[in-house]
Amino acid sequence: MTPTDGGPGEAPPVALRTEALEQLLTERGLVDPKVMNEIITTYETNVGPLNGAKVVARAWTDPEYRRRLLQDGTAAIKEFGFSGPQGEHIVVVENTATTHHVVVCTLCSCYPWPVLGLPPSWYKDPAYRARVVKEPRTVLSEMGLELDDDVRITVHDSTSEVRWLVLPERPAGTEHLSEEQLVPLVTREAMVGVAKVAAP
Amino acid sequence: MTAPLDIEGPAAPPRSNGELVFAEPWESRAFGMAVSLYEAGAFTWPEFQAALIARIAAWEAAAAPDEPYHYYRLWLAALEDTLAGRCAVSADEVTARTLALAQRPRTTTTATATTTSTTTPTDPGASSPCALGSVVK
Repeated sequence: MTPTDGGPGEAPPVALRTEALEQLLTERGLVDPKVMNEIITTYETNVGPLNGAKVVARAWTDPEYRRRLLQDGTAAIKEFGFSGPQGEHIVVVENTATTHHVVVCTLCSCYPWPVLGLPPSWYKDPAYRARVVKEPRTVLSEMGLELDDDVRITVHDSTSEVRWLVLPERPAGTEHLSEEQLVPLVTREAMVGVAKVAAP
Repeated sequence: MTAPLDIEGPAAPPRSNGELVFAEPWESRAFGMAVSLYEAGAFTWPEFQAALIARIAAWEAAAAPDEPYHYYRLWLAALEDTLAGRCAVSADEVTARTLALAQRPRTTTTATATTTSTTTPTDPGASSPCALGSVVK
């Protein structure tokens, strides 16, 4: 399909409208395209789940850090230098053999950007947002995570000022791995609580 | 939905499980605008968030069951709502500029797959205190 030329009764593509808004804002000195480019590059290339994976691997290998992380997530995460929009108040919850935490934003897409980057499409999707609250066990199972019936599931809704980060269980058989070796095992899905971390 | 964990860890943004952060270039511009305006103090984040929540709720109330969900379209609309509320840019001005841009001779613009039915903000305040005239040609 080709873009329309905005003929009568035809709405021009959203890309044009975005460009129009950017032009107006630039002309009025409200945005600086250079600053914008830096922000986009930062989120496209630098800020991603790797930040969170480093936090998790540290917590798995350093009991003192783990204690600080569960006590004051925001401060412990800042020790790595990770902070920014949507990272003002991050609470970390720990998954165990008997309790499982999963995160959602029922109203929009709140998500801890500094540690996980921008949310994946499934997290923003109306279906996940509506259903994981009502039937978490079913939704998790559909996403490939089967939890025993005796595991207690807590769903955390990020609609307040709080962003949540799940500290997944360290998989059995990784006792010999170092912090650096553990980092690549930790996935974004595990830190949202829709997956477990698997041993390599 | 979940990739096998042994293929690659999270160490490769922008792609995680093969998903790009932004599906199309304009999405990244809409995102960058909102964040840079917020960082410059043009509005507070909760303000923008409230507008986004309202746009998402309106879409979900009105959408047909199989209608595709375009998150960044709602994001852009929410950004416009926030800016109109702050009297920074009005919807009419954006529309006028969009139409002007559409008149440009096209050479190699990247085609967006669909055309948008951009809705004009339903102006929750009704009596907008903005003194900005709309640019209608």
